[in-house]
Amino acid sequence: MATRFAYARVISLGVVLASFLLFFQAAYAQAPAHLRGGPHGVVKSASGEPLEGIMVQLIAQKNAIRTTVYSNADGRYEFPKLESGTYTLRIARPREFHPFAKEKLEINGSPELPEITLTRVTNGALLPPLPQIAAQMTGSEWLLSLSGTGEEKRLLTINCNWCHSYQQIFRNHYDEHSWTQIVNRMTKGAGSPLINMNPRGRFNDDEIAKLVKWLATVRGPDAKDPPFVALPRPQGRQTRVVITEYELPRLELATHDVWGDSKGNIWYSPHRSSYIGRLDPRTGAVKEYRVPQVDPGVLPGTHWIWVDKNDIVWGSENWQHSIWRFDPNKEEFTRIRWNVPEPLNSPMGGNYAIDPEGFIWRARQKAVAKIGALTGDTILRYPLKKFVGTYGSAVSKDGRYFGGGAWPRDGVVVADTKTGEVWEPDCSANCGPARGEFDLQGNYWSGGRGGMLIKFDIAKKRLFEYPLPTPYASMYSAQADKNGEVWAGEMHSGRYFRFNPTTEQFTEYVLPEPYGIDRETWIDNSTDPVTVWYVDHDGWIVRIQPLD
Amino acid sequence: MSSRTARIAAALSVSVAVAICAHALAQEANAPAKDYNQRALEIYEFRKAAVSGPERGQEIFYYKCWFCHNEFTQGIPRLDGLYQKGKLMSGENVTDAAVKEKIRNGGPGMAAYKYALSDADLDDLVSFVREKCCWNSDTPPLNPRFRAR
Repeated sequence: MATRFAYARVISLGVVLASFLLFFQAAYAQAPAHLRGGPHGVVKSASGEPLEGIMVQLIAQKNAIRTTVYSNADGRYEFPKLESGTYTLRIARPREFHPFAKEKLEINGSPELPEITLTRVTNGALLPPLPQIAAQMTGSEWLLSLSGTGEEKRLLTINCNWCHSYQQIFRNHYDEHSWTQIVNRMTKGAGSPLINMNPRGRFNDDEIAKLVKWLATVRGPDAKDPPFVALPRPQGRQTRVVITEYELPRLELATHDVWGDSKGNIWYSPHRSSYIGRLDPRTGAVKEYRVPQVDPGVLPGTHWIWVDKNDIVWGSENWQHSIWRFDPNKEEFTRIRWNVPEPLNSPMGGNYAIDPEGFIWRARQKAVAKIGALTGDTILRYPLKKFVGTYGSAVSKDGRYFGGGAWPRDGVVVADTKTGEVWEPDCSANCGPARGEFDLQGNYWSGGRGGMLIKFDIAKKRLFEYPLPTPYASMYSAQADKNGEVWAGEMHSGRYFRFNPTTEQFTEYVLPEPYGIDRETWIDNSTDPVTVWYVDHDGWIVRIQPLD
Repeated sequence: MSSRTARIAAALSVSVAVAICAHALAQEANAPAKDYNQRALEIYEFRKAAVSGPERGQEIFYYKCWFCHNEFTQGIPRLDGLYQKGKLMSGENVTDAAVKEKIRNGGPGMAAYKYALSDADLDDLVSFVREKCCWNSDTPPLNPRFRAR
């Protein structure tokens, strides 16, 4: 009797479990209605085999908005419903395949698009060293392809991963003297403007000499481009995403942050220029606003941008050393001078956070500080014992915790403003946590420039490090969504990831351009699944819409 | 070597040369086309702003020159009005040829760009330095791709 009862329980449990799995599978396979039902088709190889993980892209002639979807294991792809009009159909980063493009395609409704047949450039495993292939390679692929020791490559990835793509380095050939000049300028200049020089660079002279020697070998006058090792194409869940890219009105802004307002607009900051902007994602239109003139001899530029609950926009000027407040209704800027010890044109650590009451938080000069946003006055200080300050600043949603990646050392600072406790744990050498955010449980997540996602577990009061799945990828920031998942760009790997803290698994989405230089992500939690935004350093805004 | 052997050797040499050329041509024929809708290729070849001319030169200037020769750094020669000044620091007259030579060969504190920039790159760069120099952070160039104005 007891045994029969036990069997019945097991069977019931099995039925419940099976139902749950079926439900989960169905939910997983079904994309939300707003992300499907548009133009669709199939991608095949020249021999008729379906190709998975191909980035199929439509560029709207009207507003240059680019929508990219990914072919599945059957080679099939499906766009969301798109506005009727003229489009260019193409494959983004075809790499091992010849480019495919069909211009002036009229799209009205949800047509089956012409079959895309891709022909391989080579049947070999390595891609030929041609400029049109080299340009598609991510920094990770460049580093996988170039010769060199682990030490040489590590010197580059921990010192040159902040400001620009690796492509910007490797597309060049210089002699040793010239590489010395360039590396010195880059590593001894303060921040990305490189205006103020520090004789003691980011790393010591022996290490600079080693890096220069390597660059002058692999990228010297006679060095040939290497045959390229390509990273795997996306598969399975990695293909279940829609990526939309928006052009911006100007070039060379060194775009930095994005943040969304309550009306669905996305604001972006230019790191080395005067124009901030507001993108209307529905039309691709951008309205620019010119930040008031900076002082003579100072580089303009806005670093951090943030929109408060009243749709007032806040920004920090890292070179001018001030905060500005912008009222979009009145189109008025208010600039608040910031009292910092750094010289003008050197970064003041302008990655700030605003708490629910409107105070700005940062950690500099051996203390976490609460500051009046409109005065710049320090209201409260929480002294630090070990670190000088933080690179980034975050405040938990309830305003209780402050967090940031330690600067200039490897560690994290978390402060509990309720109890006054401050934690300053170290992380592994060159982990380099920079910016990040709290999840709803109060755990602080940070982007490690050394190539790992870092968590300060508020319950256990200790750090956890999660190395990124793709080699030579780096991080700068991280954001947690309403479900507890963490999102961030993988700098230099041309990928963007989501991380599930429960399963400790990464899902990587391959980007249509080979960079992924994300300095700050904004997550729109009003959609289901969430919608994720960032602006790539080279100047286009990216929207990531996962299908699950 | 007999004349017959010489003829055979010559024929073989020609055949080998033809085969090598044919292989190279075949490889070239199989080279993928350049799709400039890929932004990364435009970035790689400095042609986001323009295909050639001073606008392209401005882009090259920003990436190769601006990080030293800008309006904020101390102790580094400014390049605005260079052609009006008439002389380089070396005392040479300012001409396109002299400016290109300086860029190609660099100096004790300047990188030599002869392996990094092609003749076409230098033509565009020098046309910018001559006609429109220099970079102004207050007026970054317009993005030709942007259409939703």
